[in-house]
Amino acid sequence: MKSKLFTKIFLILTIISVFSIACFNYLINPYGVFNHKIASEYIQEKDHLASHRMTLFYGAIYSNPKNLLIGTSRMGLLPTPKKYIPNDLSNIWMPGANIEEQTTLIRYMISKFPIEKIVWSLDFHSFNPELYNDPNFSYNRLNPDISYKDDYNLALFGYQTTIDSFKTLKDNLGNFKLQISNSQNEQIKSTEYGIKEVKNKIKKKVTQKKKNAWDKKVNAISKVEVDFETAKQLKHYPNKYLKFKTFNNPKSIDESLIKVKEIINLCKKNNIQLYVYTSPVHTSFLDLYKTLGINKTFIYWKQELSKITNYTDFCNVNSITKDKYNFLDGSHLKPSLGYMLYAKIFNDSSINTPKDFGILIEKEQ
Amino acid sequence: MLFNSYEFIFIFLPLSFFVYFYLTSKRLVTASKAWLIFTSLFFYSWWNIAYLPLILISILFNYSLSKSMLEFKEHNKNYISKANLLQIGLILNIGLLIYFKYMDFFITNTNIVLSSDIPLLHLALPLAISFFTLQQIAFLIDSYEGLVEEKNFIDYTIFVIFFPQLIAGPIVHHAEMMPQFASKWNMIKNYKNISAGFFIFSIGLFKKVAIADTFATWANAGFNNSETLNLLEAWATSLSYTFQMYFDFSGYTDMAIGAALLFNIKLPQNFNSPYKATGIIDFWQRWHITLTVFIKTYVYTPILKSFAKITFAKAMFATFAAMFISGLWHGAGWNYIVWGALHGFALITNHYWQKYSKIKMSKFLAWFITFNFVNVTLIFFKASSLSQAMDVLSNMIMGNVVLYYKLESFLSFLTPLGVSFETVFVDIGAKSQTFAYIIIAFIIILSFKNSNELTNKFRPSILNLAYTFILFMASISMLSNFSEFLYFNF
Repeated sequence: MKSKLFTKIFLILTIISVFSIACFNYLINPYGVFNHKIASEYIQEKDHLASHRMTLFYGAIYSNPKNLLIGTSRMGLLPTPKKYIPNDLSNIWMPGANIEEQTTLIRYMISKFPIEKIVWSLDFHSFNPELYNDPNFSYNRLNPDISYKDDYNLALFGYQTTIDSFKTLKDNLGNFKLQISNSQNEQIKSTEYGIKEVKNKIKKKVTQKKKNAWDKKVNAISKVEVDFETAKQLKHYPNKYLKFKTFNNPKSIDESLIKVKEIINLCKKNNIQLYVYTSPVHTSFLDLYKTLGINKTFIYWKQELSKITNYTDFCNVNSITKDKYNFLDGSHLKPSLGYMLYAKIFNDSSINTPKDFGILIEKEQ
Repeated sequence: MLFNSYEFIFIFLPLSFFVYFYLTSKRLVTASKAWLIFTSLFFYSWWNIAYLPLILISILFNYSLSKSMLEFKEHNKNYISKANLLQIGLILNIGLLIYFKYMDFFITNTNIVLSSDIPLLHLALPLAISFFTLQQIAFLIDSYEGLVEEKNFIDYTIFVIFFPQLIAGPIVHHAEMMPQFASKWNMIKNYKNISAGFFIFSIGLFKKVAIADTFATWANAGFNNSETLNLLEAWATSLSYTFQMYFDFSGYTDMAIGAALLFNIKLPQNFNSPYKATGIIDFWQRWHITLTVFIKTYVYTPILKSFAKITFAKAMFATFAAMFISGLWHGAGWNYIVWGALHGFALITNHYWQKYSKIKMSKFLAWFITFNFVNVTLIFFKASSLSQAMDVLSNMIMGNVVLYYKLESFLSFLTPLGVSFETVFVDIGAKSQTFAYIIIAFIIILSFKNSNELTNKFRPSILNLAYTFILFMASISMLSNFSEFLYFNF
C-alpha cells in the first residue's frame, strides 16, 4: 500500500465514522444534553446517565424553572412537594455535594432564570472543608461565559454515550414497532388502541416496573435490622464525608458558612423566597459525630446558621430520628416520610406530624 | 490547547496543516513559516493570553543576545566582553525561572526558618517556561562557544515555539531543529511522514486517554486517602502513578512526534522502554532522554570541567549535583528535591557497583531492584507533601493486609496472621479490575516494542491502517474528559 492511499483511507474512514457517531448520538440524545425534539415521538424512555449532575442540570435548565429544590441525595430521595409548589419546579439534587457545589449551582440558576422559591436542604457533612467537589461537577457547565462545550463533546463523541444511545434505542424499540404496525393496520389505530393510548400504556408499565423494583429495594432494607455500626458506615462515611483532620475545628466551616450567607443575601436581593432546613439523620449519626470528635463543629454549625437565617431543624434527636425504621440507612430518611418534612417546612397544619420533628429556628437578631 | 482535545484534533491541527502546505505549494516560504509561528502562538495563548508577552520578550531577548555574541569581535573596543553577554543571558533566563517558579517556595522556607511573615506572591506559572528557558539557555551557551551558525530570526522563533514540542518537550536542540526548518525539502508534503505521523499520534493518544487517564483515577484517589490505605491499596496507588507517569508523558511525546512529522519535522526520541531498565544509569539513558542529554551537556559537564583534576569522586559529586538540579527543575517543592537527591544517590551507587563490585547480578534481580526504586521514588514526585509520601510508603510496608472476599474460602488459614477478607481497592475508588490493569501494564512495558521502534519499522499496510484507525477511534471516544498532561506542571 502506498503512503498516500494509507493517508486518504485513514482520513475518509475517520471522518465518516466520527460524523456518523456524532449524528447518531445527537439524534438519540440519551442524556438530554441537547434541547431538540427530533424523534422525541419515538425516544421517550431515557434511563441511562453519564453523570447524575449533568443530566439533572440539563433537565432543569430546559424546563425553565421558577422554583428549585437544592441539596444532596437526601433531597433527591424525597417526593416532589407539588402540594406546596405545584408548577415550574426542578429538583437539582447532587449526591455528596459540598457547599461550594451547591452555592455555585444556586448562583447560576438565579442568574439564568426568574427564580421565585428555593427549598434548600443542608447537610452537616457538606460543610466539611475536606469534602472536595465531585469529579463530575463542572465549573465550565455553570459558567455562562464558557458554554457547555465539554458536555456537548461527551454527548456527541463519548464511548459510553454511544453505548447508551444504542441501549436507549433498544429500550424504545417498542415505540418504533408500534408506529410501524399502526401505519400498516389502520383498524387498530381507529379502534381501541390509538398510538397515544398504547404508548401511555407502555410507559405506565415501565414506570410500574421501576416502582416495583424500588419498593422491593426499600422494603428489603426496611425489613433488615439496619446495623449502623457496620463496616460500611464506619469506613465509608468517616472516610469520605466526615474526615476530621480539620473538621474537628469548628472554624473550619466558616468559609462554607460565608457562602451560605452570600446566597441568602442574593435571594433577598432578588426577592426569592428561601426555605432552609437541616436534613434529618438517625441519632446514631449524632453519636458518630461525638465519637469522631466533630460534635463541637456540629453545635457551632447550628449556632452559626441561626445567625444567618431562619431554618427548620430536623437534624436533632426527635421521635422520627430515634427510630431506625424511618431511615433507609443512617442518613437517608425514607421517601414515604417526606410529606411530613414538607408539612413542617410549609407550616401545613392539616397534616399530623410529631411536634418535635422539625423545629423552626428563628434568626438571631 | 491540549493534544487530547477535540478542538486540537479536528480544527487546529488540520487547519494548521492545510494552510501551511498551501502556502508552501505557492512557494510562499516566509509566509508559511509566519503561519507556523502564528499557529504556535495561538496554541500557546489558548490557555492564557497573559503569558504571550513573556515568551515573545524571552525569544527576542535571547535571539538578540545570541546575535551579539555571534557577531562579537574580540579586537574591537568593547565595554562588555562576550563572557559578560553570556552571564547576562544566563542570569536573566534563570532569574525569570526563579521568579515565576521558585519565589513562593523560597519565601515559604524563609518564613519557616526565620519565623517571618513575608507574604507569598502567588504567581501563576507561565506555561512551558521550564522548557523554553532550557532550550534558549542551550542556544546561548552554544552561541558563546561558537557552535551556532543559524542567524535567521524566523527559524529561531519556530525552533522555540513550534507547537508540537512547545509545552512539554521533547527538549529540542537548535543544531538538530533549525536546519530542518530551513530545509526546502521539508516544505513539500510528504505522505510517508504523514502516514507515520498519524500512526504514532494515534498510539500516543491511546496511551494518554485509555491507559494513563485510567491509572490517574486510582493514583489520585489513593494519594488523597494516603492515611487509610491498606497494603494492597498502597501498592496499587504507587504502581498506578508509576504507569500513569510513563503512559502520560510518553503518550504526549508520541503525539508531539506525530504532529511534527505531519510538517516533516523529526523530533528527537524521548523514551526508550525505560521500565525495562536494569540499572539506574540505564534508566536515565531511556527516560526523558532529551532532559538527560541537556543536564549532561549543560550542567554535569560544566561542573566537571570546573575541577582542575577530574577524579571518580568528583565525577560522582557532579552526578549528584546534576540530579539535585534536575529534581529542582521539575518543581518548587521538597518532594522534588528528595526525588532528585534519591536518584543522585542511586546513580552514584550504580557507578560504584560497576566500578568496584565483582558480583554479577542476575538480569531479573537488576530489573526488579531498578523498577521498584523508580516506583518508590515516584511517590515523592507525586505527593503533595513529604508526610503524604511517607503515609503511602509506610502503608506499602506495614498496611493492613486485606484480600478479596471471594478468596476467603481458599485462604482462611491466613486470618490468624491478621489478613482480612473484604472488598478490595475501596480507598482508591476501584474494583478488582485494577489488578488486571496492572498486570496488563506490566506486559505492555516489558514485552511490547515501544512506539519509537514501531514507528521506525512502520510500513503503510492494511494491518497498520486498521491498527491506527482502531486506536484513533477508541481514543476519540474516550476524549471527553478534560485531562492535562502531567508534565504541563513542570
